[in-house]
Amino acid sequence: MTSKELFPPNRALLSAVEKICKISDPYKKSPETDSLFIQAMKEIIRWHQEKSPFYRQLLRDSKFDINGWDGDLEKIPSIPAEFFKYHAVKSVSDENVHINLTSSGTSGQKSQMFFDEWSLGSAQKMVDLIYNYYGWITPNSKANYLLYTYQTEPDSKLGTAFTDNYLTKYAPVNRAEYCLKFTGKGTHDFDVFGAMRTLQEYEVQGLPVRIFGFPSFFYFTLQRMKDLKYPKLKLSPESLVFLGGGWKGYANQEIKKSELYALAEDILGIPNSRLRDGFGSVEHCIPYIECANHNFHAPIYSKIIIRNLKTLEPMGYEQPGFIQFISPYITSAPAHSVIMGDLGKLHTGESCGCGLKTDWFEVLGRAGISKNKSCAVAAAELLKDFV
Amino acid sequence: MRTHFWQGQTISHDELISKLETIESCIESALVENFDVDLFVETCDAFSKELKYDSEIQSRLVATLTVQDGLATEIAKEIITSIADFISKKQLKFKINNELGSFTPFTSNRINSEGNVFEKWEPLGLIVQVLSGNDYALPVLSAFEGLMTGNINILKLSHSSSSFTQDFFTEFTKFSQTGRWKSRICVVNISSKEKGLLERLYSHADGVVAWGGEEAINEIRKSVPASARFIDWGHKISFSYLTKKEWQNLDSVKSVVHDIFVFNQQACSSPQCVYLEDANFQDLKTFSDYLGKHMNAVVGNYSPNDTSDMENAEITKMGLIVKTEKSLMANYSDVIEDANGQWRIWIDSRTSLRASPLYKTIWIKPIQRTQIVKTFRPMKQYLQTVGLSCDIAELFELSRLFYSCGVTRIRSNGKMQDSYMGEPHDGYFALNRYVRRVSLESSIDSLSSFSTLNDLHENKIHFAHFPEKLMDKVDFQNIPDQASSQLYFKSGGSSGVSKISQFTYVDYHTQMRAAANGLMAAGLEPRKDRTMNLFFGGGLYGGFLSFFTIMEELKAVQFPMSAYMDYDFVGEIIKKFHVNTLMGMPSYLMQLLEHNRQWLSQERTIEKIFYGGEAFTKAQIQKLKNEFGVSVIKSASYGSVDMGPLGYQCPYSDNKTYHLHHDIHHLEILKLDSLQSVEGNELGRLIFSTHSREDQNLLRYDVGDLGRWVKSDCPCGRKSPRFELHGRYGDIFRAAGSFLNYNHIGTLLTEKIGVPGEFQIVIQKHGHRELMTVRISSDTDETSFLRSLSIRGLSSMEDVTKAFLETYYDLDELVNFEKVLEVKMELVPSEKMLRSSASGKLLHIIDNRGFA
Repeated sequence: MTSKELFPPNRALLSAVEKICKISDPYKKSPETDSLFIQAMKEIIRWHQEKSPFYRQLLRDSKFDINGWDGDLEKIPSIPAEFFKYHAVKSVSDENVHINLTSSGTSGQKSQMFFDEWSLGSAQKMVDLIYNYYGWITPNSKANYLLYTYQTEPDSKLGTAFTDNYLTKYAPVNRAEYCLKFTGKGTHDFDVFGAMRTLQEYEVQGLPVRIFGFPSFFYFTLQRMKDLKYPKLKLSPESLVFLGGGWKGYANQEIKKSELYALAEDILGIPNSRLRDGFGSVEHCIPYIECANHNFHAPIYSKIIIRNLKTLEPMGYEQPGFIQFISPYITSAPAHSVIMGDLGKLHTGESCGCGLKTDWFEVLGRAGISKNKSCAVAAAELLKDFV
Repeated sequence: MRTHFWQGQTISHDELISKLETIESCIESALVENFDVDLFVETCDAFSKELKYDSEIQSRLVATLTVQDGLATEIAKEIITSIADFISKKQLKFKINNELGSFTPFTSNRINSEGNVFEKWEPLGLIVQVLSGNDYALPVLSAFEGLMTGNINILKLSHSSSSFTQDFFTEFTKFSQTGRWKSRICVVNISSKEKGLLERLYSHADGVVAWGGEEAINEIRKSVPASARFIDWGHKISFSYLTKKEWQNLDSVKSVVHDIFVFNQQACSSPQCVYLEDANFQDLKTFSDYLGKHMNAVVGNYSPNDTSDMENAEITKMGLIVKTEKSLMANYSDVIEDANGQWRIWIDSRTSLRASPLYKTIWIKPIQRTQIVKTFRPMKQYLQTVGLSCDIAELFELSRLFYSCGVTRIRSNGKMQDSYMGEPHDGYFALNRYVRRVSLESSIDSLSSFSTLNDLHENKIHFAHFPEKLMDKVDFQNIPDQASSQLYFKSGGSSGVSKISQFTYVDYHTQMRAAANGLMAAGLEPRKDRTMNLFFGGGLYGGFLSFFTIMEELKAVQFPMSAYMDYDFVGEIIKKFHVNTLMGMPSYLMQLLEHNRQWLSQERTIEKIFYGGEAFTKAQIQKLKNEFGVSVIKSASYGSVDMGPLGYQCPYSDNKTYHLHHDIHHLEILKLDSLQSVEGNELGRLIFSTHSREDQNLLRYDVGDLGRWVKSDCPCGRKSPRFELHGRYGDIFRAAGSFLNYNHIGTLLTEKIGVPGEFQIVIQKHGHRELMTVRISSDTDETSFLRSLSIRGLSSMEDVTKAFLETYYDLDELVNFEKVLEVKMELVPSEKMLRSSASGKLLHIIDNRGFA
């Protein structure tokens, strides 16, 4: 619920973009929303063609003529997400850059994405709409927060930290505790015992508990409680666990999501349907939030294509490949069609069974290799900024 | 059910846990013994032969690879053959000598001539080797590097790897010859996730070897305690570099393509980038166009890419980024791709070194020479090979620049993957990382004559096959010329027929080192003594030359005179340069000293004499001691040209006793008339078997000498077996049906009759009997001779003969009882004594009876 209304940089040129991003039912797919989507894509392509010399050249090099485009989304040239790690590109002037965010990568290059007010604001608005859709906005019901995110330093540019601060607005804060505490020396320490103690205190208080942040640290807390044979907690059934950011840095300890949810339900008493993961990235800010069946459905603001690992041909449903995201929301940088470095599969909305009609996707892991099977060094091993 | 391979057996996981509790005592005995690297090499060679030829062992191992791992039979055989070559005697010896500086790296050797300091290599102890990846041969070869350096090895393989390593070592430890090494090799199946268990294992290690990528190595490094040496073999990156003149010559393109295409670019020496010095973007494009054309032309000659899905993803992902970058600005990047997706050229205007996803994907980049260090040095831990194309005038500067960045290998383009035997790996001689260098100093006086501490320890040489038959001079003469032979010396001996013996330089130096050791033991002090080498040389004769080498080996002061006939000159040099030690043949030495007797007997400057070839008579020894003041008279070496040095004297040896060179020879003393060993004090034939020849088998060689064992411990402290020399076997001759001994006759003549000079025996037929003439060398008349004898009252040679027969009972019987032999004694001037035309040595027995 943004206090002031948000508009794209040029309402006339981007009216379809504005319209689609403001549709309040995030999952209500219809022929109208589909055609509005294509309209919006036309606008945003023209917008970046006009504003970004790089993008203009890219369209030329890809032999893509927007005037002759038939609306087939598969034909839109896309940019690999990793490209933004190496090159800062934007389609707005510097004074219109509202913020630039860096991704929470493990090491090496971090993406730098530039956002104007509209781009960031509309993505945040989508989160509002989805939270609203699932009934998680409770202005009259205070919540106790446990945040598995980095306690913010005064001027943190990390995208995840920003998001999580923002997430505390859906239920008034009774109390909020960070689990990754600032050390005063530029680093953060994971305060597992503090987290455990806080949960116990929250149980006593009885208010709904909202747990946000990295699944890894959440898992470590639960595991520690189990190892120490703590008495199981029964937190309020209105509690909500909303995870995001992935297992970065702890990939070798990652467990299956279903196992994590089962553990959480066991240790904390939070029902399975209130345990949700979110997928997102700095290069593509559309929120993908698990439905009740724990599947990532696309909201109507975006479309997903799976591409062949060798030929980049579209693969349709049920086939693994690169995940490509398309959304017209972003005006500050030409990231309206990005190919991720993740491997995924696309499924029809019906196949999920939760009632949502939009497509859903699953992430199978990273696409690519982190090391060669031979003794030759691989790119991922040369973790240095290059000159 | 999880199993492990532990010291020759398959054990369960529970058993492994309990093994870890007693692991220290389990490896103790292996750690304490002095690793016998020679034995290791011999036994591995035998196993190597089993692997190379169609044996059951080979077929079982081939089956593991083909049936279990799905490899083609030819590939499986190739893998096994490559391992077999690696552990063959030839390659093992080469590697050990090349990387550790000696064929006997675990033997303590003196490193100085003043003081007693001995150094050697010592194994690290227990090495845990962690291997990831799917290579079949690598774990086995890595294990052998740990084994040949005397270590105990526990291999931890990734759980997905083939059971080939385990199967291989099961065969290795079951095979008769190599079974003795079973306590030194284990293969465990522990996952990298079992950190606690791994840390326990590492806590016992003296060394941990880690193969793999950076992440894997860092993970391992974290768990290894400081008490263990961390030995990492990580992933590397290589690139090509061409100067302007070279890349403008488009022929260079062909060589560059080969390195990219061969092995699918998977080798650590495969180039991932090609750098063109002083090229602009257009130059990069021109070069790349031509490169692409040539790639098309030859891609069919190389095996196609067999990429997995993830490897395809990596290629596609990176390629897409490069293509996108093209639109950023002009002359930024470009892509030239094969229509069939088999190869890719990525042109990048930025200089930075980048990894390519391989499988025939190459970066083309510009660089200026002034940027080399800045660009590459930050990547120094990953750098390996540079394929360099440049002019001879630039080779030095460029090689210096690359070495200073951390590059370890510079090769020509087109030859980046070529390797040579003995090549260092990633900046190391691998074996160096598995050993420690240790030293010992001792004030024990008697150690000053030792050149190796190995003499304090009983050494046994092992032979793969010990023949039943003995080898004699005829067999020796029938040895064919070896292709590897580099040195040829004449081997003659007193029998007269000369034969040429062949050696490699390695053989020669092994023997000279042993002989040098022996000379030191006999009393030569390299720091003090000033020695004149008077042995005979020329005509392929080895005496002078071998002692030249021996003296050089000892770094002793030497005057290489050889058996020079100008005695005046020789004497002058002795005087002028304060020579105190002479070495040469007795006959020459006596004449030299006689000639210079006047001043030499006055000044008595000669302190030591080391003789060879023949022995001094007792009388000569007396003379040297009394008249010339010589205090040390020892054999320089006991040996033969055929077999090399066989034995040596120590400070406690009398003139008949020798220590065996037990590190290079094995000695048997067999009865005269059978292949049985002698008993007790019995005199027998000396039969030598040598270890010191690279390409010849000289086993159970009858050198023709007689001797017997000296069983007691020598006071000098050396543990090498001792024996007494009792002259030539040929000194035993049959006369009138009985065995007679020339040596024995000589002893009787000297000791009982007092005959001072040399003598020889001629046997001929004499009617029905045989006639034995004893020709005694004397340059005086008969009267003076008779007077010089120790028995008074002898007035004729017949009297002498009679007196002599009275001392020799067996002979007396033949003459006076059986009346089958006549004995005569006559005086002969020394120059008329019969000598071997080949060696100049006195002939002992001249058999003129006319039978074979």
